[in-house]
Amino acid sequence: MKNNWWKILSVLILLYVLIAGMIIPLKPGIVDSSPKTVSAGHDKELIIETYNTHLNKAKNLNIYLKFDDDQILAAKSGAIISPNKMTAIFDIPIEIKSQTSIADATLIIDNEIDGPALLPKALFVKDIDNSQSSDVWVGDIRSKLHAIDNVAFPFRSVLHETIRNTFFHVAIWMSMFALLIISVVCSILFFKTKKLKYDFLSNGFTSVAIVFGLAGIATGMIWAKYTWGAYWTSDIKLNMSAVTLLLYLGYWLLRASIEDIDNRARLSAMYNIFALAALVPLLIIIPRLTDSLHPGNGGNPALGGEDLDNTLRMVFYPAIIGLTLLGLWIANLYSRYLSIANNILEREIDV
Amino acid sequence: MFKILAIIKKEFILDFRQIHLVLALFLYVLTNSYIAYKTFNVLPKVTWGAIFLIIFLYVGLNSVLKSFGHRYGQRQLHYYSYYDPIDLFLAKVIYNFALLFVLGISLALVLLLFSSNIIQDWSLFLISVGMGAIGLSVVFSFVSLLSLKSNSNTTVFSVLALPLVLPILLLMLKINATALGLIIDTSVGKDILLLLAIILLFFALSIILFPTLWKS
Repeated sequence: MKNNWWKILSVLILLYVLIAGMIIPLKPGIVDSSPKTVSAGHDKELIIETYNTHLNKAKNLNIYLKFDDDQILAAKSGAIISPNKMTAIFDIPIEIKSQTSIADATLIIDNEIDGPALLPKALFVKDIDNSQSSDVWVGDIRSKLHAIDNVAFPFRSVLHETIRNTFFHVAIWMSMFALLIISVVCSILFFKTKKLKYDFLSNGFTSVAIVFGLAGIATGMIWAKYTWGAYWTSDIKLNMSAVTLLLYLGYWLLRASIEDIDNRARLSAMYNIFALAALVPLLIIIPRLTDSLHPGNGGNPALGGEDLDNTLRMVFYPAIIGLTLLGLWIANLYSRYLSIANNILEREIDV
Repeated sequence: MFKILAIIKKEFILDFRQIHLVLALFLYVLTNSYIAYKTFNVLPKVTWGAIFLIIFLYVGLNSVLKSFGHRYGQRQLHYYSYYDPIDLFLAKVIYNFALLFVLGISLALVLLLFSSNIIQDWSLFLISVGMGAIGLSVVFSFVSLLSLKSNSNTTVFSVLALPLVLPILLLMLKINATALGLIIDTSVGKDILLLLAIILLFFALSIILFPTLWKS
């Protein structure tokens, strides 16, 4: 029990990640509004689709179009169709101050149950007079919005519910990196001590890391299907990760091709160090220098800014720790199995 | 330094005593280019670049990956007893680089016979081929020794070596595309530096690991 606390911890953490990651709801958001483009004028009707909102129960519902901080327009009237669908009617003035001849507006919906939700660039208004200012604006609305303080994951356009994949896809890759680094440390220890124990450990860590890599690719493919529309694209990050997997499948091939156990240990330790050295430029450096759709590459933001907010962090960091501990556990079991199998083999040879 | 030169000289003499093996590589280049040319009949820039890179890779596999081949068995004892492993590795890399560079240039010249006026920036192209030759000779020399030490089938090691050189090949592809005028890349210097960094990384690792492997 004393030595196994981390195994229990990994199971508990992963249970927490599964439960919290699946149960915590998304923040309310606006999925879509139509039409996208209107001319300025009276009685323009917008059909608004929302997500996770309670429009029919809300008593104090406000809808705004925000052109900029000083130019915010309130809806004239609205009709609620369902909890997640409504129409709103705006009187859009001709005089809107704007840099261009078309003004774009952010749609804001606010009520006392859900809090504010917004959709940037929801509406483009054409035929405007951008030199004059109008007097229909409602002024500063920040004090009027209902701040709701509940635990919920952020609502991002395109991502929607798939934002939960952060806890699995990203965390699996991170723990794969951790396992590979531990494996290389074992390979180096093998060279220092020449003990077969480290070869078995290194093989265990690398094997689990390969399985994690396959799982990372599988979760990534599902994510890509829902956000990019295809399981596989010609994106550099995807193809580099495929190459990395080939590299590590080569590790298995190498081990399988050598009969002599000491020779196998030495050569596969060497290949392992070489493979990690190739992995770093392949997965981390090259995709960053090339155009890529994948977050974190080609100038896209990833872990940082507003994409990873505190609610996500609350589940994401435990997920990395839990998966790494689970990987350590499986690798440990596998290397012990390898060691026992080797002992049996040696005994058979002795007999 | 003199020792490295001595090893290079010895390799050169021994290889050219069996000159048919070197000539076979040039014939390999010629035949492959001809097959590629007859397959396509016209070689536009995109095809030219792709064919060049693929044949270059396989020439590398055939020449460098065999550098510690089976016929090396008898030489091994001699080198083992006379020279420092790092000297030997450096000599091997330099010799293989020279061989691969000459093969690469002759490959380019043969392919240019079939479709002229392809290369717009010769200096960039030579840099790309030269660095590619260094990279391939470092990785393949190392994998070749792995294959010698494992006493197993060499086919496995030509499969293993391919993903290892992929970062080098992909950067070569990009620099080549710029040299051929397929794309306009203002930051090609960055790619060259990155390629250099990757080659240095492989080189440093090989230098560290080679003596252990050699002595085993």
